[in-house]
Amino acid sequence: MPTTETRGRAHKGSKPSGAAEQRLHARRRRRIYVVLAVSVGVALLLAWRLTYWQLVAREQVLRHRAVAQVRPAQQPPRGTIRDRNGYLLAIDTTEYKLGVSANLVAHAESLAREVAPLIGRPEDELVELFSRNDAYIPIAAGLPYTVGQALINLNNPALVIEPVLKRAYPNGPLAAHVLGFVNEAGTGYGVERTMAKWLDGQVPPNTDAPAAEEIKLGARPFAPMREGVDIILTLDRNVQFMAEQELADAIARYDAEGGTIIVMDPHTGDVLAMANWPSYDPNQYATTPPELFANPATAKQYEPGSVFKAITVASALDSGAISPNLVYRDTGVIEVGGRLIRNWDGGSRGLITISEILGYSVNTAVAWINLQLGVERFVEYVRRFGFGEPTNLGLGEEASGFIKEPGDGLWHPSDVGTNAFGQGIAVTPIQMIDAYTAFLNDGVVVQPRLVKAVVNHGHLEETTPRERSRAIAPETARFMQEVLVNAVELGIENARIEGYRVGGKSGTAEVPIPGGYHPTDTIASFIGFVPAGAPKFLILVKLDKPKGVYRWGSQSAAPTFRRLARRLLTYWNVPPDGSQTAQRP
Amino acid sequence: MASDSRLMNQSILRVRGTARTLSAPQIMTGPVARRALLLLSLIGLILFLYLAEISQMNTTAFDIQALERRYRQLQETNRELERQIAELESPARVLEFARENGFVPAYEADEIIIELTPDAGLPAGAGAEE
Repeated sequence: MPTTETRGRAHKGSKPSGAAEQRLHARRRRRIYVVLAVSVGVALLLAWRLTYWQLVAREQVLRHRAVAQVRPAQQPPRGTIRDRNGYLLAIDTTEYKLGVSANLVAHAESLAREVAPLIGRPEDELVELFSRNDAYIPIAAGLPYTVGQALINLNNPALVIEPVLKRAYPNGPLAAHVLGFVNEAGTGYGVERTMAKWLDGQVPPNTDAPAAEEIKLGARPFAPMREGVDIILTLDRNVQFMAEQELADAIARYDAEGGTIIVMDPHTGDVLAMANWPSYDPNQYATTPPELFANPATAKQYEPGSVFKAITVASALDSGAISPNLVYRDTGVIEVGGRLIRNWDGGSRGLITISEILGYSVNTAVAWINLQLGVERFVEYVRRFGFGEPTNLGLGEEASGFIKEPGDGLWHPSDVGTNAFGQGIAVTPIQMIDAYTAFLNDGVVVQPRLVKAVVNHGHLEETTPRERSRAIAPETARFMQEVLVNAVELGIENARIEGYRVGGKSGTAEVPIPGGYHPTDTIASFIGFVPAGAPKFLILVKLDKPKGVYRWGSQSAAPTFRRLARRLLTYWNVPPDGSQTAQRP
Repeated sequence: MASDSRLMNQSILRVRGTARTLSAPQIMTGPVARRALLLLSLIGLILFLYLAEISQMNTTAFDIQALERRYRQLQETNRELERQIAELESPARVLEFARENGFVPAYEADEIIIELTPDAGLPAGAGAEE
């Protein structure tokens, strides 16, 4: 061992002894060996790493490389649309476009053999395409999800697979007019169009609203979209289905040309169902005649007929023009503005009360009542009930209805009589049913509501029921509610439901044609609620041009109401509330 | 003398800029050579670490891409499964399935209303409260 002294000398350049010099050399050699060893070690490490990737982890490297070229979708998915219980009504699903980078195809024949049965194209045709030297050749489009996944699993880098989002409506035509659709040009119908900005996620999140990992509004909890907006409608999928079934049944049973059924919660204005006939499947909108797209429940005006009598009577009662104890002497005819008005059956009823006026649907009495009310007050009340302007339900193109007024050039003095029983004015089904909510809400017309909540980037924002207008005083509304129950008990047998007290009014409106009214065509309707003491729902049934005896609302719309109402009472387990008798349907 | 000569060479080597032809062991054993070797080793080590890091980054990038692809695929699968569930539990299908299995809608069933009278008493098994 060299001493410190020796080492010090060596460093200072003094002459070392022979032994010391040898030790110095030996030490230097050791250092060289160490450096060489380190270098060799590093080289070996690199070699091992290369060997590892080339041999040991070869499969892993190949897996990274040998995958199909799956491109991301070109736009994020739209939000889902669900019913009030969370059931899915609309969702974006994936279809696939397939292309091939032919210059990357190693074995055209084997690839064609794998791809041909999946996409349903002849193998030899694909061999020809795959044998070219092009960087991209489109092969197929609109491939369903399962096919797309099978193509991805082929793990062939020559395949170019592009997901394309496609809107799907899993319930087919259910609620088609409410949901609507949006086409590639961005135009469309229904909630899909009116709520497009939300569904496309273009509305900033409201962080004040509570965040939710899972939305539990009803029977079907769901995880909200993180990057978009889900819409929760007021519709109940099952109620909608029942309404559509009953409407289709009524159309067939009464040989009608079309129709609408709306089911509404009279206290919140929630539209629980909105069924129309004819309808369409939004999955197939591209092949559907465009005239079917507009929603007749909101966009189609009609003369309501006798269901409007309740509005006239309520207005006259509320204004004090008539007393609740009115007894009218019906002679079967009355002259208003130079025109003779008769009852629907041509008969006369003698002395009748308000309940009987509505129960027997006496035209002359209602025309007389409107004369007592006066045209100015009539128009004012009609507007208070929400007629003459859109309800702003949120379905886009909505008709305003039409009310004639003195001085507008169309008004005639006889309109005081005919308007009273719903002829000569135009309304939409949603306006008509909404007006009836005043009778069940102490005189307040509620704002009809179609969107119950939005889940905006995970934040739940619920809408709240709103008043639309006050039409009549609470005591008038309560009186009218009882009058409508009496009307069913007295004159609308087909609307009665065993064990339940039902309120409502039927209507049969003539269909206007150029120069007058069609001699036989009618629009038959019924608006009713049940149970009368605490109404759970309000239903409007409207049938266009039913044939034969069914042209009368009491013969077609009323029994349709009864059939649907019975199903809904069962569905909601509503206990009987009275002893109203009825024949089994 | 030979030993003196080597020492002389060694001392001369300490002077920078001196041009001399040295044997390999001499080059590899001098202090400059030592520093050079050390530097080379360091550079080698840094290069190795750099390569290892690049390799790791590439591997991670591949993994991220694969995970993103998998995430997108899972999202697509999830949406597809949601659609299938909704289709399978749609009221029209449930009704059809129920009818096939002999079920009758509640609103089409016959109802029997049993009215209780004081004479009739409670149905068997209904129990009574004091």
